[in-house]
Amino acid sequence: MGKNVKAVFFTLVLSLIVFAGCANTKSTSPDLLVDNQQIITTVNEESLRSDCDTLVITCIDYRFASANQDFINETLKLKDNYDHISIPGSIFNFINPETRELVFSKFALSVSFHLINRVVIISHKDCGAYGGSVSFGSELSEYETICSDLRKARSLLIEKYPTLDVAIFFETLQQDDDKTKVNFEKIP
Amino acid sequence: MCPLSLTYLSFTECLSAAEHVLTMKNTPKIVKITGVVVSLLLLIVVGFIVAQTSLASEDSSENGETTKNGKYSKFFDEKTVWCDALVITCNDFRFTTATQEFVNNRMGLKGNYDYLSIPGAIRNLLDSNTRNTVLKNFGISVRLHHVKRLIIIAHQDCRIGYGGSTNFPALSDEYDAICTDLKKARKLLRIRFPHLKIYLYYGTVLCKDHQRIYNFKQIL
Repeated sequence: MGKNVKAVFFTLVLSLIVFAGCANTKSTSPDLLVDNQQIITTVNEESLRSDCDTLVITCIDYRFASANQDFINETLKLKDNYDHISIPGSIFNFINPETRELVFSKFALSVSFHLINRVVIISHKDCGAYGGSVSFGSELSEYETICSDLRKARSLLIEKYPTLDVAIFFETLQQDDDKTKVNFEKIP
Repeated sequence: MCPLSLTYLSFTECLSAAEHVLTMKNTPKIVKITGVVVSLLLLIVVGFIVAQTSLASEDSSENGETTKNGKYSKFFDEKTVWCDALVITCNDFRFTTATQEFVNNRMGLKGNYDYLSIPGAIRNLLDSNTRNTVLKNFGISVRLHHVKRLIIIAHQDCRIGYGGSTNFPALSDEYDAICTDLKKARKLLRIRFPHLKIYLYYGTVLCKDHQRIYNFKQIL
């Protein structure tokens, strides 16, 4: 009898430990110990400005984040001259009627606080907010859907702010040998 | 589901153990001790079940949406590489370059982070009107890219979130107010995403003869 009870208790305690362990899994990634980082940027008189004139809207996706930064800073030459709004799906929530008001109010904040006269919107392929490439069925339909969303966003923005100049881009990942390149296509 | 079925198993085991104890009349001392232990264990198990169900009910709304759409599940199967961190920051143009430098090079996270920037950064999370949308957006990054860290960067003179430095009587007041907000946000996020590590930073900028000196201080 006593042995039986012991066995039952043993399994009980074991299952409790396993359960507690399952419930309290913590990530094992190492700690980031970065504190009091000083970053010094030189500003030349010519490009020194108290305000910016461009608003950039991109997606948060990590595969495109640094490519976006390079593209905006170097290719578009907008360094230090843009407000960067980065939200999942870039304009996905703006097209969605449910969240349009909220997202638009955020865009409007940026437009009214700064002297924005140009907007750059960048959407990308295989976007998680749309459910990834697989949810479209084919590459062509994905391209068409995102382009039409971009155009819709452009017309919505121009409708509210007729003086805005809106540029829209679609970016894709390209496998080039071992390197992955990001290709930007301007949508007319 | 697995932990729930486990608790159910242990629960039935407890019951059978209790029956065992009740039938043993020749060893009264053991019965007393084991009785106490069994009731204690029962309490713990019931507590766990209650906690688990409350957590599950909190999550169900979000899960319901994803299964309803049915699109994320397909997307999920195809991905094998995930990213490390989600960086949440403000969209202010004075800080974009410095933030990029800070995250890319100082933290060494280049190409390995989701970059989420919204006007007022963490202020949106504390505002009850926008909280749900913001949390949903954070959730997309957490669910689809399996981020392990959240890095929240607030900054001095945030005009959109706090009305700028002029809204505060002194710089230290601004620092205190933003730090409290950051900590509040951390508390909120810990409830929703308990498995994530959360880092808070406060950025300041100092203009001095053709140079801008940015400083990012970690808030503990």
